[in-house]
Amino acid sequence: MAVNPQVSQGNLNRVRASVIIPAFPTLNINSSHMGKQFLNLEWEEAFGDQIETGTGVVNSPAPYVKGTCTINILRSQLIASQWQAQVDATSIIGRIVVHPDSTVYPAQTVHDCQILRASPGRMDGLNPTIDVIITGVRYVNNDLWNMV
Amino acid sequence: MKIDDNLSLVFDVGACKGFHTPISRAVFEANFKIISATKASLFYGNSSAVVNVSPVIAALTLKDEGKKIADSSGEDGDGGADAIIAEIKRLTLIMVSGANGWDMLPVDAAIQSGAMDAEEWQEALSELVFFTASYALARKADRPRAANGVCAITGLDTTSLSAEEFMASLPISKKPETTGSKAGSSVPV
Repeated sequence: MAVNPQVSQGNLNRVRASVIIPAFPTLNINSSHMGKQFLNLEWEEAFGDQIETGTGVVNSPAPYVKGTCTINILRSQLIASQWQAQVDATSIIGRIVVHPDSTVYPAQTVHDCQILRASPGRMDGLNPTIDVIITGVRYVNNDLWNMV
Repeated sequence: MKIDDNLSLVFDVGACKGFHTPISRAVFEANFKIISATKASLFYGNSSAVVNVSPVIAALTLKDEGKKIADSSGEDGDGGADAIIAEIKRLTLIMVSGANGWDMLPVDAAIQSGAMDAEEWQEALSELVFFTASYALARKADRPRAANGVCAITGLDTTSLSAEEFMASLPISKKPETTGSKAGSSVPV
């Protein structure tokens, strides 16, 4: 009979999730300023293409992929007004660094970011959060530059 | 150094560098009672005590004054002390030297990574509270003098650089390289 190796599956710490915005530190977000959905980061494009040929595929790695970070920010705190003021001034915020809810998963850097949306949302007294949607790019396949 | 509205603080903490942005006017207005009470307590007494003791006990004084404010209003709480400490922590970035140059981490992540320990952060936090109490209550025209005064007696220093610019100015011990392991090519050779 096979023996269960019982490898530790690790732990998640949801209050560890945070976002830092180095160019505008007043926008930094940690778990105390987020709703129950905390934050979400998605790379929306493939890291490369596989172009089919008659007998196989041609690999074509992408030098970057676009990504979207959605942060569930508390409208009931001053921090939400900081983000609104930022949109009034400029929606371009440069680089952001997303720290995940795991200590062993690396922080994710998104470059050339822009605040795409920051709608105040429903104001029925039951919704304390707004979704701030940020888009930017991640540079991938950096070895492409070694092959020029 | 000319100090303008973009003033930030830099400091050594453990083997790392810290970068702090002062609290905003809105945060000060929401917490002016506890900040002013903390400043009054820290600057009470002779100048030797202010120079040698106040920067070390500033965070504790903030909590103590917060407790007094809560007690005087019949509330059971910290009078907003923990909220201010959380705000100072949020506005502080820790720059950690790694294999690929410097990384910018939130305070908690820097402690978890072992780059600095909690005691080192508490020491830095106390100096940041001391700075906040001095700087936030100063008139705009007096802020450069207030900032320079605090920096003269603490391990803090002022900068007009952004966090990105400051991190780029730090020395690196290894030339940055592109990352990622090489994968097999699909091109027949």
